Amino acid sequence: MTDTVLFLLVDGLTNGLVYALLALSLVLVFTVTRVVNIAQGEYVMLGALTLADLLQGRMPGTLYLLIGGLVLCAVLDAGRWRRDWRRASLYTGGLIVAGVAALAVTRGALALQLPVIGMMAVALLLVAPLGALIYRFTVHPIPNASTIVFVIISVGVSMSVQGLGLLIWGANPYPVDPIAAGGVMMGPVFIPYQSFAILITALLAMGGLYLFSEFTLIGKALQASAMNRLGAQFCGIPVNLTGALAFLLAAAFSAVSGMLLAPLITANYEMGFMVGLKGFVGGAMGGLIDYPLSLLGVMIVGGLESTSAYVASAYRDVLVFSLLIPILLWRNTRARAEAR
Amino acid sequence: MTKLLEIANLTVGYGEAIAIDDISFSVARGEFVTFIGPNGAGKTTLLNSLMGVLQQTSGTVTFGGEDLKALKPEARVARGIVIVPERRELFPGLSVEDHLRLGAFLRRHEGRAKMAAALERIYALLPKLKERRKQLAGTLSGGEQQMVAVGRALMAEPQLLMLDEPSTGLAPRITEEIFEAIDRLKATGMTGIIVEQNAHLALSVADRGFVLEVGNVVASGGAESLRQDPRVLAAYLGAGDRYREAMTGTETIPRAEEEG
Amino acid sequence: MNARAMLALAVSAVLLIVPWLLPSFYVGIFAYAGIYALAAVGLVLLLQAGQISLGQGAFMGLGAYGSALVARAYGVDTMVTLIGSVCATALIAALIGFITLRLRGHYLPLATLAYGIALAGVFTAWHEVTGGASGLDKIPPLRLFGFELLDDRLYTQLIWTITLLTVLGLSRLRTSRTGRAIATLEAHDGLARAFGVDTTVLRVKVFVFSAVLAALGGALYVHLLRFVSPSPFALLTSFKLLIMAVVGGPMSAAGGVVGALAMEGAQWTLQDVLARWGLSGNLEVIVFGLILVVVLLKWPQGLWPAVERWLPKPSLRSREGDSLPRSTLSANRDEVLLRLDDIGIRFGGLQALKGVNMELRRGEFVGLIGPNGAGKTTLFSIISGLLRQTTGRVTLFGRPLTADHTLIRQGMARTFQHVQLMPDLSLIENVALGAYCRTRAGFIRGLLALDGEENRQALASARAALERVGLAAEADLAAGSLPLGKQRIVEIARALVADPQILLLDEPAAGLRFSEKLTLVRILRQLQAEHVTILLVEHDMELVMGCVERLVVLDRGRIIAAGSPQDVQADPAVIAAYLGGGRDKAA
Repeated sequence: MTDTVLFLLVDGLTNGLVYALLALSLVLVFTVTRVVNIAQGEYVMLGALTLADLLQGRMPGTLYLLIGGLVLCAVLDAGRWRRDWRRASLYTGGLIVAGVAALAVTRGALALQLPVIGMMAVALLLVAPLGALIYRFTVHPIPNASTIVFVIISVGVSMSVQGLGLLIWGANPYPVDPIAAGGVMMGPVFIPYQSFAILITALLAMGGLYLFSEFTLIGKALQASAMNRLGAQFCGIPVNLTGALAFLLAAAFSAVSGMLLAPLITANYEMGFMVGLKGFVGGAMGGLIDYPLSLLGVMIVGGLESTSAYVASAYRDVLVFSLLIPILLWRNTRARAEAR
Repeated sequence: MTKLLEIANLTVGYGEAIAIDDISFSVARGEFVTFIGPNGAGKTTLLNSLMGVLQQTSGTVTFGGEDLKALKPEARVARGIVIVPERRELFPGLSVEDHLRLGAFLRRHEGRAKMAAALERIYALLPKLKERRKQLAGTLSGGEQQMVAVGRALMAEPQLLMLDEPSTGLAPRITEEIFEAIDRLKATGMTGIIVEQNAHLALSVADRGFVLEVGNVVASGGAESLRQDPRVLAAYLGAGDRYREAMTGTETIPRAEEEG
Repeated sequence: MNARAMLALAVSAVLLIVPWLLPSFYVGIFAYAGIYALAAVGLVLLLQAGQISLGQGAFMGLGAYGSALVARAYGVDTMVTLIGSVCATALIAALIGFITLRLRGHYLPLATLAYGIALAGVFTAWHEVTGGASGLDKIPPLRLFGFELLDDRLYTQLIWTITLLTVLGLSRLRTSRTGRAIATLEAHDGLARAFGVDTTVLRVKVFVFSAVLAALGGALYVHLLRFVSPSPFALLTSFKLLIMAVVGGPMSAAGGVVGALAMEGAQWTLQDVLARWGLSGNLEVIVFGLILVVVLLKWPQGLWPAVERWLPKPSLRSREGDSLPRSTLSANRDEVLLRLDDIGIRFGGLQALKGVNMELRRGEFVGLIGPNGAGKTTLFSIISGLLRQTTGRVTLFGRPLTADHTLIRQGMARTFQHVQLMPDLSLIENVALGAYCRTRAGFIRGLLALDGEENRQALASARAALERVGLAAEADLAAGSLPLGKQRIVEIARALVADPQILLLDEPAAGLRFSEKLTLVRILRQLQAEHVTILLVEHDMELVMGCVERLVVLDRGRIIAAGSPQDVQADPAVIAAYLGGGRDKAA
């Protein structure tokens, strides 16, 4: 019995950590831009499949997505600089340099056959900028649209990106090497090294976000925009800069989450949606604004999931999601009491 | 004196409602002007429109020779127009020093030494902020929050400092402290617009004043002469004659004329 | 019959003939489009009431499984099972709605997502009964009064007839008493309650009706397909329906139909075109997603408003004849209507009001003034039942103050500091909301247009009120198109339709021009002559001084002066509170 409990605990914790990165992404995006990003899970898929490609020595399709996005960005912004040739050439030049750099880094990494960690870094470099590009294409043009419009737009983004995933990688699942193979017996429970890797990477990522937010001025600006948009504008902080940055960081976090998850479940083009959903459920328990509560939320989701899988696997989702409602009712009463 | 800010026939509205109705004035470099008037006179609307948060309906606003019309708030900050907003608009979870650093966000490439020097200048002007430098803004008292808002604005090295109701909700002693800091700023040659409900307070720091009443300037002049002006009291407490005459029982109501 | 109705009739006729013109493969697609439209129309109503649901697919599933399983297992007539299944879903929805509709913010959509997934999960997991993921076949066909509906074209006509009748009913509902109340639910909860709408109950009703449409769609779906499996009712369908509602335009029931046709049309056209070009099916979803993004970037309000701009205007409902009767108010000026005893309220550490005593006698015109932050708004909120005082007692007509949505029935109406009108509705519709507390027709009567006489009276009263305030000529303009000054006057007209004895006015002159203020003052004077009691909170001192009989001055949460305008104007405490004490060292 204790064995089972221990196993479930470890399993739930591992799941929870993976969803935690996603929940953090959602909270980050929502607080800074007020967008409930249904497409967040797609970066999980992109991260996992990009890593799979890199580990098998193939040029990842993500690179072409990135270059296509940069070109589209240059086209859309061409009009903005019509009269200012210096800034126009600087801007376009920057986009070209970014594209070439991405290509060079990818080729270099493939030639050097970097270890898993190195390839993860390269994959991150390819996926994260996509977040900022998506912001430029879908949020930047209509800053004052309603929540529901952004929700549906992000559904559209999710569909397109998932379709692109299918187009690039096909429907087959890809195996992804873990950061470390094997595992260790701790007392009665076998714990794979990947679980430790997930724990360490997740903590590093969260620690990184913390350091960035606390010790850089840009990080502070991001926090400031999340706390008070108008106040941030009065400081001269451009809304579009922080919005794009939030999307970029969120894409990075979700991609890391995908790269950690992939070795456990194999990567495929439709893995993002369900993971995204669970991250959303966790994040939404904190009202999409509260980081610690969101972490608690995803841990609850992770725990419920592994427990219900053990109890009655057919009713797994039913149980997880039915248990959510009482939790929500409780949270709602608390939130209202705090508002008073 | 050169004109830093020139405003001609400025009209600002929320949708169809006119909040600022065809106002013209200018502010010279090194001058402090004030807009006084009761609540709802359009004082905050005026500053928000100068800041670019509200779109102007018509008229022109020229700052240092440049038309501001198309500029977003952050671009106006970059040109040196900085506001201390009425509701302070602080970041509750950030420390006092964070606020000051963020105030200098657009000057972040000037280097550490300059930032440190700028911080020291603010701490010298508002010593209380130095004591509280590590404290989160959300936990400060109202007066301290007001000082943070002032300090944050000054960190941007404004050409034009706009203060929106700096005395709102503050105890007289704290208000005095804030206004002493404004006095010192003025002595350094700072240009400013101060908007206040507390007329006596505002006229004590300003060189010139304008009395706003529901979107219109009803009186203006040197601070000293406005202090004695009966129109100031009337703007706040109203005479009521215009309405008393208009009311003669229950005859059918004529439709309000289209725009008067 | 006006041009709009003829056009609607013509379009409906085309939609009903289309099944006979299509190749049989497309008949099925067209039938499903009709079913989606029905469920999406339900979602549109829900969105209008400010609720986002990701559980609509699950309600379709409940309707579908309920009818299919009972009909298959017990051989019960499918018309009976269909109706029974829809009723059962309504009960379940009422229960779920009762539990979840108290949720706010993101918690509500999250809850819909939760039960949506959970219910859909049951369809798969309970395979002894539902056949699990592989589903059940041999579902009996639909029998209508003993006639077996086996022809797909006929069935498709039935589906579209139901969908179109629903749209017709909902467009009637929109201009009914309940419809006006629903329109306030999204953005104006306080407004709805101030005019006597029990918003909690109304929200549940809207939720149940929307679930009924989904369940009906689901049941029609299984008896058409004659096969039931969980996948059509999974989360993806809920998303699809939400997309249809938002893309079509959640402002109007027709938006649901437009959205369903546009989305289904786009999907099948894409599939066709891409296949013809020899491109892989993978492209379809990519392009579909892109279209979705681009359409919403271009038309954030949805497609229907973009189409409707070109259509003739709908006909107006009658507002001729008698108004609702107005009560004659007594002229006894000694009667105390509202009484505040020692009112105090704390917010956290802040004592916002302390020891406030005040009386409002019949026919009085009292002004409540004070500088910024004096506590006027707080006091106003306590009187109108939105806030509860920490200490003291409020007595209205001799009884303790009750819940906010009951006050208007007792005779106390109000206007709002920030104008609360439905910007897309006409003036007369906005004003007719004032009659909510004096009329009775509910959801069903509104839907079936059985509210004719009563609705006519309400609209006639609204028109009369608009005439009184001088806005009769603008009665059919959208409220949002009027200048703010007139919008404020509209608020007063709306309050008048409720036939109040006490009128609370919260800064009615803010943002008005002088000519508009003059109109306002004249209206108020006329009301006073009719013995309506008025409490006015206002910043424009000239206006206040010029029209009230008595003033109460608040400063820092306490009453610092009370009396005639002349006395108050000369009161040194008032002058100090308004102009400020200045500085010790000053001058």
